[in-house]
Amino acid sequence: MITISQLSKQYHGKTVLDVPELTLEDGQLVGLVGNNGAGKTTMMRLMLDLIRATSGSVSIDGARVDEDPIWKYSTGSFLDASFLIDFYTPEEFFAFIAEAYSIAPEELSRRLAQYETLMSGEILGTKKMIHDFSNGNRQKIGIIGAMLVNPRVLILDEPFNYLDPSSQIVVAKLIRRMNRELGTTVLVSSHNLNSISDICDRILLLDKGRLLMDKVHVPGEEDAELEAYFLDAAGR
Amino acid sequence: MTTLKTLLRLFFRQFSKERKREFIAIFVLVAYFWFIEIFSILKAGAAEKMSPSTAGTVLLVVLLLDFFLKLIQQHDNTVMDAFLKTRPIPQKLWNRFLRLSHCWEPLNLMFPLGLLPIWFFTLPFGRALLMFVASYLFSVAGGIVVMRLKRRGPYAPEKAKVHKTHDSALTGRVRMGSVGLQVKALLRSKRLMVSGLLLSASFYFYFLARVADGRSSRDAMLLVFLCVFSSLATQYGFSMEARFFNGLWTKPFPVRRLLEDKYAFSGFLTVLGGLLALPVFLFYHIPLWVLWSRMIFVAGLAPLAFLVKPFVCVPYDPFNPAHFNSAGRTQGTFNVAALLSFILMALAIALIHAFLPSDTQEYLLTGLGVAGFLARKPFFAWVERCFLRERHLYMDKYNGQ
Repeated sequence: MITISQLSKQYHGKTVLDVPELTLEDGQLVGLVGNNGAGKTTMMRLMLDLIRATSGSVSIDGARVDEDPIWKYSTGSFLDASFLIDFYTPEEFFAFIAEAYSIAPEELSRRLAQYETLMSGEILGTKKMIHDFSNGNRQKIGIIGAMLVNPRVLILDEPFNYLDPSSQIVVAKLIRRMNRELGTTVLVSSHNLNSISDICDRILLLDKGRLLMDKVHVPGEEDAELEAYFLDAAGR
Repeated sequence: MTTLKTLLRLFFRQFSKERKREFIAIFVLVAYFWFIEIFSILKAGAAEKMSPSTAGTVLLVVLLLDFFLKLIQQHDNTVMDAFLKTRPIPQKLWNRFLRLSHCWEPLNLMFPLGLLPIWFFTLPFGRALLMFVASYLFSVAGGIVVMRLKRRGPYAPEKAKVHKTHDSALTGRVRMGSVGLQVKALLRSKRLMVSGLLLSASFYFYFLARVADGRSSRDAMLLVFLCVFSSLATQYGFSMEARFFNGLWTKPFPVRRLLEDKYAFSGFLTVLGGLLALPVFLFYHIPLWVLWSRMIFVAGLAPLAFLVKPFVCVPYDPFNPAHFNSAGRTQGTFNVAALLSFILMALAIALIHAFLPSDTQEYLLTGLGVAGFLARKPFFAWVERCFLRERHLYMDKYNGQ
């Protein structure tokens, strides 16, 4: 369970995030949407203790992330390229993650096999450094790196960026499967409302750092209220 | 239309905002040169004694050194950044700007400024001024020549450049954890690796020449040689890791382990260096105890000096060649805190060498090395605590905020 309490972040006196209370229950698949500058990435960075909160706190399973690093053992995350060791080959990168999470080599091979469809033969065995892959394949490596540890909490920022339509579908299925089979609590952000609507059972809408909507959602269904918000924002 | 004035304004804005540390580092080094030169000149009483031919020889040697240093250190800065490439900037204008920018490049200023005391203490004023101007002009010209030598083709940035990995037996055997991270960071950054090898080779041959000359094998050159790779492995390692520190931080990967593994890797490199120096000791019948004591000292204590402030670093990107991309440039020179630690350590060694009898030196160096080894865990725990207290400030800097 992720609990946010009186969380705010300011840059140079300007508030970029202000969320008084929010709880993500175990096993929920939550989508985070909002336009540029809404505070989605800031919220995720605070959840991962990458930046200091101006006030308030984030707790995962009851432990504050900025005080107790226990959350790292049960959390998988991928926000951007700074999560990749780009002078490693994908095999080396996955082996590095496996060692950090004490995953045995045989188990690593078994888990990697689950992502073969996503990798579509373009990632393993190429002897290339991650730096030399296309943005799309780098994105896939980062997502697999986060999911590989079978986390109890999975945090992904814009996972559908750079991916071709087929890979977007595969990633969406993988996230949904992990959530169903392992009961992983997932927080996934996207600019693309359709991608979020397809898989999430709860959607949060951020607007200029504030939580504007928090809705229960039926995966696969369109949400008229959210669509109206974005249409309205486009016309503003 | 973009003008030369616009490009120069951009250049100086970048200088004042992002490359200040690089300039400071060069000036610290120049000040160090001055101290050594003035101290040596005064000690030798050589003021106003250099003949024109000697001055010419010194100039030639230094210019050659300056040129080779640029061949190693100067990276290709002729590639236009994407934000310039996509605008109408004539190639002629860009070339003029590149040539002009060499007048302020720190690498082109280092030697001419560093040599000032030698000229002004040993030559008449007019000739000294002439030597300074000549060294500066030759250094700038050398910089431009190296730039032309290293220049890529006009469409190089657009080409998909593939860096194939060359897994040596060494990298194949290491585990994939943090030590693997250290080894691969060094092996896959060509610039870092070549710099380290050339620096080591030059110190090695200097040490060899001094021993062959019949000078004391106990001088600091052996220690400097042993320290080179240790220094690179410890200082640059964090600059490489700063680029993906977000990924490390969100995994159960203790910061202390990064430090401990850097210490282990540095020790491994010191042993390699010691093995390279061993034939010299055997050939010239120098007591091996001299080598062992220095190896123990460098392996045990030196990395602690280099790791006093390891997290104060600029992310180093070994892949990005664009002109205005300054990431890693400062670190491409050195970490000021580590340099100061190194100078302090060198001074301590000089004092030990000057005032203590031979055997006592060996005992003391061994003792200090062992003490460093024993103190490493509490030391790293302290460094980790310091980092954790200020981690968000460091991480903001790594993320460019």
